[in-house]
Amino acid sequence: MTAVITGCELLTCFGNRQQTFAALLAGRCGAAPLRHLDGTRLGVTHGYQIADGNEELPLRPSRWLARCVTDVVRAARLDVSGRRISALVGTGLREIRGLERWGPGDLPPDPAGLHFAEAVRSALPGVAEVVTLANACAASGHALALACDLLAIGEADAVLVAGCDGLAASMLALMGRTAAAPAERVSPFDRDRKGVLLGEGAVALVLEPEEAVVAEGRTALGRVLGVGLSCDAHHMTAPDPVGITRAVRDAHRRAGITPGDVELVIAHGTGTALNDPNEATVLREVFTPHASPGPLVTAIKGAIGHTSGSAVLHSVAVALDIFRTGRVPPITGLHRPIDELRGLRPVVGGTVTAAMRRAQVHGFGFGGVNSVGVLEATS
Amino acid sequence: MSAVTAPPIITGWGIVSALGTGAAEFTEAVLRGADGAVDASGMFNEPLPRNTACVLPDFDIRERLGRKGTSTYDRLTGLTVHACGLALEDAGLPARAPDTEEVGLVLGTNLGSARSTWEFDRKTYLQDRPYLVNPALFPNAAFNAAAGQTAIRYGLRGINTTLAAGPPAALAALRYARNALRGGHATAMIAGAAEEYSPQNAWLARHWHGDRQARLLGEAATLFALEPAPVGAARRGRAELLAVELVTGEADSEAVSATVEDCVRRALDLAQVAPEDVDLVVTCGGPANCSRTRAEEQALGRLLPQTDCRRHRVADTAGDCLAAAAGVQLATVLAWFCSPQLRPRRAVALVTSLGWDGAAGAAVFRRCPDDRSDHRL
Repeated sequence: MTAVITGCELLTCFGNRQQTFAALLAGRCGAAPLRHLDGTRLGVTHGYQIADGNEELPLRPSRWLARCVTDVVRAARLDVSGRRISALVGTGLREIRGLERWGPGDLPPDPAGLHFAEAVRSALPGVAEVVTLANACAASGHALALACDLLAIGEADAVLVAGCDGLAASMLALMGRTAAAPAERVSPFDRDRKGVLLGEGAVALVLEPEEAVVAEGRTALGRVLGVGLSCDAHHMTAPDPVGITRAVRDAHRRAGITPGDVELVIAHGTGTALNDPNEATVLREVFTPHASPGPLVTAIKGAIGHTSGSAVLHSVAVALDIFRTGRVPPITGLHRPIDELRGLRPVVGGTVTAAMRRAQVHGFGFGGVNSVGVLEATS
Repeated sequence: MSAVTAPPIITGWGIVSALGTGAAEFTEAVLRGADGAVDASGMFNEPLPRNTACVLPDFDIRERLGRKGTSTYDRLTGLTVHACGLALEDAGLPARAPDTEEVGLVLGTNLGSARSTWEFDRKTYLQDRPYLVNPALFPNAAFNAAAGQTAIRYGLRGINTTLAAGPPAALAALRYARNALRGGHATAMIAGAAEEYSPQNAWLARHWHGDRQARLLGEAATLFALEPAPVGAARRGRAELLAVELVTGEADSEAVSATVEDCVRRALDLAQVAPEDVDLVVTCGGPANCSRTRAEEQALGRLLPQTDCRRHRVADTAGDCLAAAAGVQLATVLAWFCSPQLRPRRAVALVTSLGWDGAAGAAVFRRCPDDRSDHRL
């Protein structure tokens, strides 16, 4: 049983899927001074925010999620009647902003809105179950893996797999404490990178068994060949190349491919001191002995920020657009590549036009959780 | 039933709760009918909505888990790490690499540590010099901190996932663990849920439940080792996980009653268990005037007409442990499976749970045919 993606909608600082891909191709950076929260106190002054008018509106991530789900249900013509549809939501920060804002005398956040079930149900009535995975920045990668498993074992006829996150003061405060100097943009794999910045956004995909989609004469946007998962069990915040490599190998094994089959990597690329050299080293060790000239490497966080729970599925969505258009966006913010990238083929400076059939998508998170997905074009 | 689809088996468990720490102590307390309520007023400087709670006022992370690596643990992490160690030991699973490469962990939670999140934010904003906030404490404000720290402590390198849910969190975790085993992501899964007691949780729960006096809160960490049938059968099986289901619905109490009924029906069908064959039902329970408690009771009344089925409501003695509620319910099932008062041999138990967002969970367990549990009384 192979899972195919029959719908994909998203929201980032640039807008919807079409607007976001256009911005990526143009090499635009969506970073701007924080629209809310006291940046000087937090030690973080910039972010990749959605300009929706009121940054302290309660349940913003839920609203974005509901919007993406509504759009994808319409686009994929997802029919719930007589079918069991599970929804999986990946998130890093959830609706934590509501908890942060809860002060003396205030009403606390409503528990019914904590886990995104209401948001999903409002856009997809009849959904059988809503599972929320709070797996930090790898959350939607774990959701994608579970979605494939649910389809494989026949637990669901279709799976809505989604992600969402907004800014939260406590997360920004950590970034402010750990970065040497506040970054004004994310510069993945760049010698002068200053660290990561958060991006706001949401994403929703529909996954269905390929056989059913083909039998009904419908078209798919791409195929999920496999998702590999691992846990470093090493350090809460510092990445571990050993754990990341295990997730890559697991993904290749599940996808039934060898490293030479991968044509494109959409890297995690957070622009932090530790992630980028670690990730590049893993890529070099996995790919350069096998594949000459090796896959193209791009990354999207320089353009849209680190969208946390949505991050992996945002990269998946970009992979689908690359399949569709044959255009690979550059790594926004990368000007002087780090040494560890030597021997790899980062997309720098401008869009590369090349037909891509197989892409590998990375997402690593707090707590040493790693997810690596392998996608394939369907046409 | 083929080996592939045979139900996975709970081969060990660990619990840290007001009713006891470890399977043996908890089992003894449940079967004795012990009451876990204690005076919690000395635990925190902040005021509490109620001074009595089913908590562990003397739980000390360093005393229980040593100094190494524990300095940045918050209470939730400490409870979780302790329960996981007990579960690994009880199941006879290794606790260090390389043998733990394929052991995964899935933890259900509500808000992670609401206290850690809230305090970190307050200190950042309210202290004169915000740089005094210890960055090493930050990861506790991430929702998956407890699962990450637990993996580090025991070298659990398989899949590692934190699920956000309300009271059914442990059932969501069991379901996730079962699917992870089927999907080949791990050879064994440690699955469960944890909740810490804190003024933040106590006040949140008071708002959420809308009752000021009637509900006793609790805290607990409950973790269960789940292994595929062939492996599990070779170990000391405690219970087969015949079915675990989650259904989402509207949050009003009438809808919740229908949702939980639907969920239980589905779980019993999948478990191929007739309602009259259920020997034990363990619910969270709660005040009789609570509309959600009534909704669940009405659903169970419609489903299980027999009167000889044993009932156990955990909130009466272990407190309402919020995200850990269903975990305490499952631990209570395993305790009862050690009792000769239940039908000998293959007793069947049902656990039901209601979320705050309209979700319902149900799980069906059967005592393993050859239960050589050394906790049997």
